[in-house]
Amino acid sequence: MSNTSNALPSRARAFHSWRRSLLLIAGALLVILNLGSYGAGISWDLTKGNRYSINEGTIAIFQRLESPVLVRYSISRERPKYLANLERDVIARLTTFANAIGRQHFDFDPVRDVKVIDNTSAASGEMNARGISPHVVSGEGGAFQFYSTLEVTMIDAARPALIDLTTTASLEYDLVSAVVRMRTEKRRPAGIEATIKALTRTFDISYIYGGREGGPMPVERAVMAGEIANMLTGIANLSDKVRFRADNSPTSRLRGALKPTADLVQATDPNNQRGMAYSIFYYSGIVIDSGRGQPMVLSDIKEASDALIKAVVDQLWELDAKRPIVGVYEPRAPLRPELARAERFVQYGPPSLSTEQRIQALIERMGYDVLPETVTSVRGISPEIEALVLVRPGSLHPREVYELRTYLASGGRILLLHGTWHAPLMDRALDFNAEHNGDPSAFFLSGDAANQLAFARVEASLADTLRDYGVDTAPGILLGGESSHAFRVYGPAPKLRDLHYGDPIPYRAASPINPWAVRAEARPALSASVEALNLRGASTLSLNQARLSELGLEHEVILVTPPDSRLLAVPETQASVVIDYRQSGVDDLSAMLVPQLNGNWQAAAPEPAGGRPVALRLRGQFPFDPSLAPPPFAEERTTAPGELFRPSPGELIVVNAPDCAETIDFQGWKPGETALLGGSDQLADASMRSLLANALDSFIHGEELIDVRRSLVPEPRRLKAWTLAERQLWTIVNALLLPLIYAALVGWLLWRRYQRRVRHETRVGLR
Amino acid sequence: MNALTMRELRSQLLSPIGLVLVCGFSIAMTLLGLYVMPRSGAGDWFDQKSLTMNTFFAAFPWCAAVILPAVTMRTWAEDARAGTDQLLMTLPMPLWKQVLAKFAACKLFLFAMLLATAPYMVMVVLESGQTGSGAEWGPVLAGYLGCMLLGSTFLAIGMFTSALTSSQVTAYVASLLVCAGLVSWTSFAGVAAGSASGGDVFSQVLLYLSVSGHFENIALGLVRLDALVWFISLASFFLILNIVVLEGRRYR
Repeated sequence: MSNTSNALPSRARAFHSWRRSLLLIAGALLVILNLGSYGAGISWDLTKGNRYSINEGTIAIFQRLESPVLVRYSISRERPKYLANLERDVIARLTTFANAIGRQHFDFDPVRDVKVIDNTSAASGEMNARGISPHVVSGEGGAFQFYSTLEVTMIDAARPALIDLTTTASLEYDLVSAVVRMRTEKRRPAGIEATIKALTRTFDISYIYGGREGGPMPVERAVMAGEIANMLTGIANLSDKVRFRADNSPTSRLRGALKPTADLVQATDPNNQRGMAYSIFYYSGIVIDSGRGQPMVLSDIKEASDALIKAVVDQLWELDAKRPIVGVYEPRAPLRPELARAERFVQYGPPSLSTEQRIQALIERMGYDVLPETVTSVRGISPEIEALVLVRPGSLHPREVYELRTYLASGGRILLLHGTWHAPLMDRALDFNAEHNGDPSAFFLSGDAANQLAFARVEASLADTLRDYGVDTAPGILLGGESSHAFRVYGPAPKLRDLHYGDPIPYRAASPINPWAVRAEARPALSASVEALNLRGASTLSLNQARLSELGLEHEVILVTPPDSRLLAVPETQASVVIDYRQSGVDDLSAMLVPQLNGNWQAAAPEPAGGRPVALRLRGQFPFDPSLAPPPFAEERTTAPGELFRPSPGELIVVNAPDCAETIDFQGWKPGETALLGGSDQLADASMRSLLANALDSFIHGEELIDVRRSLVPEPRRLKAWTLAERQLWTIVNALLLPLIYAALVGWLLWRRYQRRVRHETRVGLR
Repeated sequence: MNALTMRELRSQLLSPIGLVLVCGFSIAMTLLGLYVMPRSGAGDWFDQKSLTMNTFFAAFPWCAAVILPAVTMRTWAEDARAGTDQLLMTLPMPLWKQVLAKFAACKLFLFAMLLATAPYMVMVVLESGQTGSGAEWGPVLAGYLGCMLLGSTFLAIGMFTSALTSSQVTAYVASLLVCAGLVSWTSFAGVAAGSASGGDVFSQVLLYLSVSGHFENIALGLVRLDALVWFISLASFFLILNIVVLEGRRYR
């Protein structure tokens, strides 16, 4: 007994000791294993395209940099609910980059480099000074502004790159793109002399001075002019890349680039002893011409100072920066005369920048210099440009088409935003009226019978060229104005009371169509961030395989119409007409309109057209016959045929979407129907930038960025909306199907068990 | 050990409470995943046309914190109340094997509960297959892996609390509080750290302790080694505590 009673406490003590040791060891192992695994940083990204990991190409690009990339993120504390986690997500991604790339190449500290802005309006001055613009979202309470921008700088770069962020989906690519572009910019030396000597381009500096209309300059200004001329001569003497001349000729053509400067002079009239003030006008300005694009002008110079010299040198360095140049083609030929009258007939909403202007602004924001490209008689397409962008080129002169073909066949790269030519809907001067041919009274807008609207079909003048390359385009349909709707169709509708006007008037409602394109599986790189592109009135392309094979051109489809190409449903109560743009095989528009019982008109859709190309890329030696004489412009002398032709493989990307725009929501998705952007040009531009950036970066920077782009695979999304029946079905199936099966199985097993027990009890006589 | 596992599993699966738990879990996950979790001003899961299971997996920690303690509350507490724990102590099977056997049974029951949500996965995969990008299996399978890991951790916690008491209710409540505390740890850690991300060591440690943080990454398809180690080590630690508590009963 005493042995047992003594054994128990000793065994208990042993147990307690064992327990203590075990828990200590277990706790220590817990900590050590976790520390070790955290430090190892091993992870497996099971998403398509390794969405949450950094691409190996990205790491390689950053690690090849000679100086680190510095990143600073500014975000407003007050922002839309959709973006509640944006700050956290961006910081997490940037921290991941820093850890993977190494802080010596990617310098980011979440505490030091993240600025959360408490008051967006108060910060606007500082942000504007840094070139950062707020995002604007339209809501019920009006416009709402917030900041969410990443500034990327490199020591060697001339200026920071700005990346607007509403999602982290393409953050990696945007960062890499910015860095790759900034790599081409060189570091400015210290001091004026070193800067001038480092210039690589040749500049012509002209100092324009003198009185207006041949009159004298004020005496003190004449002295100033001499001093300025001496200073600029000193700059020119530093380098043979800078040529200077002082020009005081009254007939100098450069005076047209300046505005006259005025000095206010107080004088006393000797005759009546009264004072009077008057202005003396003269010219005093500097024109800096780099031979590329428009010259830089410094006007209204009233002082020969160090600040002036610094401004001149700054401009020289700015112009000398080796940023790739993208030409944006401006058609030279006059518009169709009847369409020139369009503006006075139709006005859609507030005026906004044209698509061409928006695209130019976007390209500049992407870090490229934009050169407006106009075909002249001798020069052809400028050899300086890296790529040429054509935006909805309609009504091209045959000579322009000739030059474009020469350029492409000589190794040029063209991004063609093709499709229907754009103009406000016109009156019966055009050749088609969907409802009543020749009878303008059938259509009117807002009660004004003078505004008559119809359809018109326009052949884009590059159609023959593209056909020669093996790509067929369908005839286009005019779009309506600068509206945010994809496509407006006007047709007969029952009379409705118009709330704005108060009187019952025949009223035309327009229903937006948002035709789709989705990326093609074969080569998603160029459309990696484009799950569905919101096209506007585009139609599909078709490939002539025989012709492509004959020419030996490589081709890849970038965007296709989605599998589900059914007509979009129109609510029965809506007095509107919807036309499916994808009916590109239909020639007669009137055949497309089928009257419905409710008085609406609905277009008949052909068989589903999924998988048809909307954007594609061609590469190789484009055909060109150098013996063909170039069609002359009216004013030029004869030019030798094929003078500028040097055969070389070129590249052509055709996007059959003239607006080339996507709307995005704040989760990085691009819905067609939901106007989440609410008319925000900035965000619409950001979505347009995706496809533009893909194409231009692939032209200019090559495959380096393509590999990074290829890794950007967005989360899958359903294209069409769920119907109520589908929602109900899946909710019930998800919640109850297997549990009910399980319950039935359990019930059956229990029933069998009960049956067995009853049989047993019966057998042994218990029942 | 297998016999004990199967016995426990049968008693759970073939009992009314097991049926209620499976049905309740399936219904709760469906409703939360489709209609409650996606609410960010952009509508429910159907409105957002998302074809991921992100919201489904986002609902799992909370569902698990409420339902899994009910699975484990009677593991040891019932035996302690009925006095049959003495039998367990005298079985020829070591106590740690018994703990592992019951743990395995609970995990298999958890697997059955997750299996009941398979239609959700089928729906997502079927719809994804019809888009241009195709079905994305990685995040789906990773999400279920995360559910098993997180669920196993909660089961281990539940078994530990069940071993501490003879009252099933007490075991349930204690386990619920611990599990819910772990799930909501991220919010607390964020406040304590003073920023959403935090760059200092203290903030990083606090955030690392969050099971939600680890689980979210796995559910997105990014499986990190430290997350795997965290879940496995935490579950193992609570199983060890479970064994220690049961062994300690011998000496009361």
